[in-house]
Amino acid sequence: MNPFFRRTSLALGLTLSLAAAAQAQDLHISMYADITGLDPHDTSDNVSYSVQSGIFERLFQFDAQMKLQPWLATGYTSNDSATEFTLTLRKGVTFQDGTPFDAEAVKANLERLADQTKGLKRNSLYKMIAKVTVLAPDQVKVELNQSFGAFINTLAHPSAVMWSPAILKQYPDEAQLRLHPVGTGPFKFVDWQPGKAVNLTKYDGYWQKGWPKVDNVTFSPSPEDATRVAALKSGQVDAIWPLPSDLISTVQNDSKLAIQRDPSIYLYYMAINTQHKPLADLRVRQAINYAIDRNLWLKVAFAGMGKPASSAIPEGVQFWQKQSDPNYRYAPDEAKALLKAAGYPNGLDLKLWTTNATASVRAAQFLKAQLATAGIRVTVTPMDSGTRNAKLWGVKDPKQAEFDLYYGGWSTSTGDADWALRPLYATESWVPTSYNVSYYSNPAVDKAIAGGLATADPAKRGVAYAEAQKLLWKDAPVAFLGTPDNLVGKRSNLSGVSMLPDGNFLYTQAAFK
Amino acid sequence: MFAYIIRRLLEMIPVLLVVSLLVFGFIKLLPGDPARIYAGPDAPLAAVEAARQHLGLNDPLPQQYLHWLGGLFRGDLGVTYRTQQPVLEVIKKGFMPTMWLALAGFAWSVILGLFLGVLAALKRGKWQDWTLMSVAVGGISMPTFWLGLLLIQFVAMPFGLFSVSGFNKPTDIILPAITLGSSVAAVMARFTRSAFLEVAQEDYVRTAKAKGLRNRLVTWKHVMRNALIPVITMLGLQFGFLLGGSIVVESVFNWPGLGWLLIESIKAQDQPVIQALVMLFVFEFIVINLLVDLLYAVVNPAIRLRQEP
Repeated sequence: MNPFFRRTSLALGLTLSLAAAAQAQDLHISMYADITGLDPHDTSDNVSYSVQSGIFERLFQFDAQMKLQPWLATGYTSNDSATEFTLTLRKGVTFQDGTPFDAEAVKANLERLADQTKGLKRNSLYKMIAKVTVLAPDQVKVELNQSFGAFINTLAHPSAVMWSPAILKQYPDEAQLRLHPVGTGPFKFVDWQPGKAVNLTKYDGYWQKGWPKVDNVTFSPSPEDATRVAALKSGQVDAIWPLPSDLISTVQNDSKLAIQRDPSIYLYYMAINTQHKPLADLRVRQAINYAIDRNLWLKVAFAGMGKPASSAIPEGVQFWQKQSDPNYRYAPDEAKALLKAAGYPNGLDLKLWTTNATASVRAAQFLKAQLATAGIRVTVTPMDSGTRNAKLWGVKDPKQAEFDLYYGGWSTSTGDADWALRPLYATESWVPTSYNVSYYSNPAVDKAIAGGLATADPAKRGVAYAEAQKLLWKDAPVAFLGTPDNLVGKRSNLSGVSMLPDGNFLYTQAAFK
Repeated sequence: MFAYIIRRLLEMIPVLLVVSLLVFGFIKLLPGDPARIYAGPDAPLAAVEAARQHLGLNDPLPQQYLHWLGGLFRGDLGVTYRTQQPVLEVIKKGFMPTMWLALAGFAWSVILGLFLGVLAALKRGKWQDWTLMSVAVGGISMPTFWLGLLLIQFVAMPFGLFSVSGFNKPTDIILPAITLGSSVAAVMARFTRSAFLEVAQEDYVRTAKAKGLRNRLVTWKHVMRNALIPVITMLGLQFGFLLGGSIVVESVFNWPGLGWLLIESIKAQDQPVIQALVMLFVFEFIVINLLVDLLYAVVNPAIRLRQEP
């Protein structure tokens, strides 16, 4: 080759590759915390799940309305008693290391999830899996050791992802494995510098043609609300989540920025300790529910962005049914009348616990003021999360639980009514076994919850959960408050970033206009 | 000199032991269940119990302490509860960013502080003195996080020269370093000024002047040298404070260093990390004090390192 030609072509090549590099689209995202790990099977926080969701995929997914949709599995059949499920798998999918996705891969992953000796954070969610059988390369049968109607929803849980079976085999040591995440998702893992960034890059062999639209994704944690918003405003990042509701005006006033607002399924409530004498009385619990203006609570705590509670489970959860009997509107007079009927004409004194997060304390102070209008005098005790965990969830005997009211919330991570009801309201779920911190017990509710789990037939499950919701609304083991929206701040030319109702961030369909 | 250093190093051992006992004790007093954090917030009771067993939390406290101490000597600090990475790895990653930040903050604040302090002393009672000292008082009084937020809002955001958050390019160190060093600069200026003025009144300075030495020579040879001794002590202390101050500054600027790590670990109640970091900060403080003592001797040989009788 003549030297002139060689030099010219070299220069041309360099220019072209530089131009290509300049055109590479990088997406920078900042969130409120660092990830805790890269293995979804051994993760229990939404930040990690969100980042992992670009690398890994599940058999079933939730869409923006928290409705189930097929993903790596294209469909399923089950027997009547919900103990056997046969899944059909998508063809033509490969893992990022070239391993094909097939029934063997599903078997390896479900067995890992079900193995209770592994000590993985999410093992317990899958303890009903008894046996996984490969029927064909694209067909797998899962047998359960009990009826579990919510099984397919459980498979859509963010932890139920498919690892490349080759990688699972290559790194039998958990500590090594969790540094080499390989899934079927649109992005490949590059590196994680704790406290600084997680870097992902486009996977060219992704099965959905035309995706992803961005070449690189960088996640950086930024716990300070103000700093995170400043990073967005200055253009250092393209999207932030969550956008704190008290800082939305700074984003609204900037024409280059936009707010992505999506409904959530995080239900805020004020748990009522039914073991304490006055609160064992149904009328007192109902009085508390009458004494709170839910819309005003939303304004105070979440800039009005959200929905007031209308049932014991939030609206986005499957089998939700709106309740209106009793009609818990803001009615201090009704509350007073109920208190009087219960034998507390002069009101009563209650202890309200909350965490010391600014927003929680503000909300708790608001609730105190509201309850005061009905004659309920409340002492608010903010505590750091360590103390809270010990005093609330560490209690072995219900008699030791000192609080009367507790301001908190619950996210139904499976999107199914079972996970919204059983942990919070079933008798078997009393703290410390699970999260029934009201120590509430009602055999009829227990029966309805169990009934919903005993069948895979959506119609039958719907009937059971409707009954449970009706009873719970009337019984008021908590003060039902509401569900704030999920807020993402982003550049206005960026589309495809949003939040799922369960608090998981979506970015696999991100694109710049 | 060598023997002195060895003796000082040996003296560190009992101090560190006492500190380790205190740190361990205080961490154990903290509310919260480490096993719950390790197993994850939604873990069933059985998993929490398994974690407790695995982490040795059922062992008697003295045994837990000795186990931890043994690990400390072997350089095995355990794994973090939150991410299950080796604590040593996590701390290693944060160490240099914090050191760079502390050194940068220290460098500019000391140079500026000394310069302004001497200048104020030389112009004692004049308007320059008043102005400088008022600025210094302002600098000491201003909360660092507030200065940091101001710099983010009015310097980083409009100009785009600096990242608002994190450590992405070399220039990103400038704003956190300014924030971190501001109060040190102010303290140094005030302290240098008073040390300088104090020495200037000493008899030997007067004598030197009376002997007819030139003013400049007296200032630099006699006053400066002697005034530096208390200033150096102060420097050491200030560097220790800088490491402490980095906790706030790193949080505001999202600087991936040890201060940031400490805050995040406290929030997550990640006990092995908190324990290790507090020990490290104490150790650094002690080492800095030693270095300061050694520096005395270098600056002023008149101070002898006294041997024990």
